[in-house]
Amino acid sequence: MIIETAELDDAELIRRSVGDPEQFATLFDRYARQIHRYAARRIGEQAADDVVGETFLAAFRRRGSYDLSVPLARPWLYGIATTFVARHRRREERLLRALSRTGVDPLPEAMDHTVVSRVAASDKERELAAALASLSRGDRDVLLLVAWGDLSYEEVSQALGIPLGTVRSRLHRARKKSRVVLGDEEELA
Amino acid sequence: MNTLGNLRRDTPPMKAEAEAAARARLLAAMREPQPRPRRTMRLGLRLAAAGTLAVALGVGVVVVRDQPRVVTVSSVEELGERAAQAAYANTGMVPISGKWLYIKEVQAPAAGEAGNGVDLSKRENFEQWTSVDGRQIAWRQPNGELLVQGNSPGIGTAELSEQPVTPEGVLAKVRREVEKFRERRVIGMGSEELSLDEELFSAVSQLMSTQALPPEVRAALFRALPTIPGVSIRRDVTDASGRVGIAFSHTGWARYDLILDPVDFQYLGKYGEITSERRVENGAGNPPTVYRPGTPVVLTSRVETKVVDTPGLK
Repeated sequence: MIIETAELDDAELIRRSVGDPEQFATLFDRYARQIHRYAARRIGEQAADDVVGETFLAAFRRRGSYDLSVPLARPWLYGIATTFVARHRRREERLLRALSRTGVDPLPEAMDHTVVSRVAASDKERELAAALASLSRGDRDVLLLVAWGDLSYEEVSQALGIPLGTVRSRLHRARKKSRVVLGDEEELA
Repeated sequence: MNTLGNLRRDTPPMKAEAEAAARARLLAAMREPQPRPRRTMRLGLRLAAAGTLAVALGVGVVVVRDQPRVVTVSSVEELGERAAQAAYANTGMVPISGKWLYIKEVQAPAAGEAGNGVDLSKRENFEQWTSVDGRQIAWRQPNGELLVQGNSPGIGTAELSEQPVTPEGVLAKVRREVEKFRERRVIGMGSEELSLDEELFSAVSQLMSTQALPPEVRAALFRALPTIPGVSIRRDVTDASGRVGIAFSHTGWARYDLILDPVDFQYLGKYGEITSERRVENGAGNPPTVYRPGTPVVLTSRVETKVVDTPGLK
């Protein structure tokens, strides 16, 4: 029997996947690409491939502890992905510092048989990269989940399992630090 | 747009191969049996038997570490499961619609004058090409001309990959093709006596040995094989290149072994031999062919495969 999964919300899919594991594949189809984009923007495509694989395996294994009152699993998945991105923290900071120093972004990586055209970064971008590299991991996670993951403050709070007040204070700190280099008129996120 | 929002905006999307690989890993995890509680229980029993907790734990660790690469497979179900898990690890060949799979095999040639069946003392190379849609098969005639024919069971990646891919689902699709074929078959050639299960096993073997199937489909077929009545496990079966493997085996009029590598469960080859005497009529005026028990009818080993654009290329 083919079970129609198109209209089910994430929580319902996760609930069903406890008894019928393959239901979980629909979550992969819904979110793998956007999580890849978020991770690739931080640490590069190849590392993002691993992050996506690890994220969905971990999510699948932890599905029994998912809060079924939250219909969208997106924040939960971004939270898991962010912990895997953190394993590449030094790489992330190295890439940002390289951009800041040389004005050429090492990302996206040049893959086999592809030519990546690289535009010289603006001074503002170089300064921003330096600022991002200098942020603490927690502050950078919050800032980039909002700016690149398009998560709301509430969703960041769910994703990272931290209180809303902490999200606000981390974001404030991250923006302040970045604004110092960019100038007050720059809206960060 | 602000600077942060613009930074690395042009990040390329996830590559299809990377996505397929990550999805396959997830599907493999979904298919994993949930062995942990059972293992704990078994370990618990072992602990009790061994006497003290500390000593027994030590023994347990040593046993695990000493496990040889060739794992012991205790049942045909376990073989199906292990082969399925291994299928996900092998993402080397991706079937692409419109392409062909070049297959080079070593075979025992037909016995000829010496009788029916094959001559186990001889070897010859055999090359064939199968279309990725599963519908066509091609090989060279003795004069070098390429002969393209319809393939059996005539089903390929596209149909078998339709979601959801389950062992029951893929087996049902193959069974439908086999049933269609049986309905069309000319009566009186002998093969109508073959059971549906026998032909189903043979059709799945055929798919496994001649098609570049995606990992998910291979895994489902491996899990489906033990569910065909009469399929059993057979150890230490040698292919035409002398490689010793572990096999899914089905015994009907003949016994056929689908031989797999005992470590990574890749397809190695086939062996078949007659198990009970049969007479196949050859029409008025011709003597019937008599197959005696023990007569080998097929021995192959697959030595090379490659995805190519058209049949005849390698």
